[in-house]
Amino acid sequence: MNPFASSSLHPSTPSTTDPYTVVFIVPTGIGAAIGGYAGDALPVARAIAQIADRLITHPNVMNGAQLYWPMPNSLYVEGYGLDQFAAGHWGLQPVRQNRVGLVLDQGIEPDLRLRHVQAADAARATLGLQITDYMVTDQPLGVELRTAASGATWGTIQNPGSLLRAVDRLMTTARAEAIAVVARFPDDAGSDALQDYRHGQGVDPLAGAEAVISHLVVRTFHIPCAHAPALSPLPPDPEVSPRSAAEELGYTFLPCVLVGLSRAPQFVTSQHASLTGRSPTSAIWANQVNAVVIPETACGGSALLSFSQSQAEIIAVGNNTTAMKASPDQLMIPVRRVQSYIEALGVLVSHKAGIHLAALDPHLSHLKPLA
Amino acid sequence: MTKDAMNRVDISTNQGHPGPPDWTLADAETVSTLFLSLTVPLQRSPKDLRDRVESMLRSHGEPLRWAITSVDTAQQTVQVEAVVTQGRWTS
Repeated sequence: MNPFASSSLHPSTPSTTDPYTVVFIVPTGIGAAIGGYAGDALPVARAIAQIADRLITHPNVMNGAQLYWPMPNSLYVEGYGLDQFAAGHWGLQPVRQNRVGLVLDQGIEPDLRLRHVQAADAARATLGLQITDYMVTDQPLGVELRTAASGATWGTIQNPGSLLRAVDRLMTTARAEAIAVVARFPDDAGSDALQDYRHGQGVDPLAGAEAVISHLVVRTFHIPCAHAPALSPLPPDPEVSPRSAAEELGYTFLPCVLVGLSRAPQFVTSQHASLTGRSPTSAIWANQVNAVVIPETACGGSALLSFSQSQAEIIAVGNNTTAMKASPDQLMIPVRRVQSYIEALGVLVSHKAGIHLAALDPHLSHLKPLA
Repeated sequence: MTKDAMNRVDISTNQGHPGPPDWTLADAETVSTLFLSLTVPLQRSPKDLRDRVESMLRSHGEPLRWAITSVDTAQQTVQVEAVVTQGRWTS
């Protein structure tokens, strides 16, 4: 089956002949026990991709700094685009390859900038990616980090206009079709938050600000975008957690971003008019989604609130704990609760096969006359 | 602000940066990002809640990223953390 084939342009509900489509979400910057560190939800994504005909997921799941695992049936969709997709405003148009434009923060020191340019050159030479000449922002972006009362991390940037000017130039002059942004993030090597993160505890101190940067680009230009932070190398630490270790491997976190963006779907509008000039005939829409997998305590995002109104089976995973306290019952969202991703995989297999889960339980009750 | 708008608002902003001395008027037309936290009444459906959150955020700017971080079932409210943008981008 062609995972990106579509039986109709904008069907009302998924049919049994449609590709089985799963959305896998682990929100960034909320301290998810699985997926809160360095691409450590990627094994779950790989497992889901064995069941699903199409897997729709986002950079926080797929990005492991210099580690990545491209999957031909996966769609790499930035969080703002995922929210718009879930709301039915935007469709996803699969592509063979995007021309990726690279934005480098003026605040990055020359040696560190060189490392990132070389990472992009390596992706061209070794992986065959198409990457345009890069843009350095006309001002330092001025990333500021924040941890909110909930424990989630957020961030703001002092010069968002400078970021948007650089993206605009890459799109108009270099004809970039997707945007990788590298912003200089504050070094805070001695902070408790960073030490906790390296040791596989607490909340990623950078993640919330990263999402704000990519959301701004996607919202403004309707183009795939992802972010990699530029940071000074940290001293070796034997206590680094395996879940965080992917970010200890080199000088940049850029390779996974370039790989993801190189095949990220383009966005099309619900009016069937392409935002990018591409034909939307094989675009994927929210009402073709069969299942959504989410940490149980993180049901308060825009995408999940939107999906809760659809026909999709929402699978809430209990043991992927987070700093959030937004459970589905409190928000009146009907879900199927499972304890683990291993259990979620079983639910997906049964759902795809059209097997009622009750039949897999030894205690199957008798039918009764309908009252 | 309406009665059932936010009970508690915590806002911080990065507005007011001076910019380089050679800025033109067009360059000065910048976007700024703003973090805020607010309390929103629970609604009858998740979709209504999503729409209500975004509506309340729009009184501060254009919603960029937000999440319901906790639910107070006794008070029938949710706590929201968000980043909105202010100002307008013109290429």
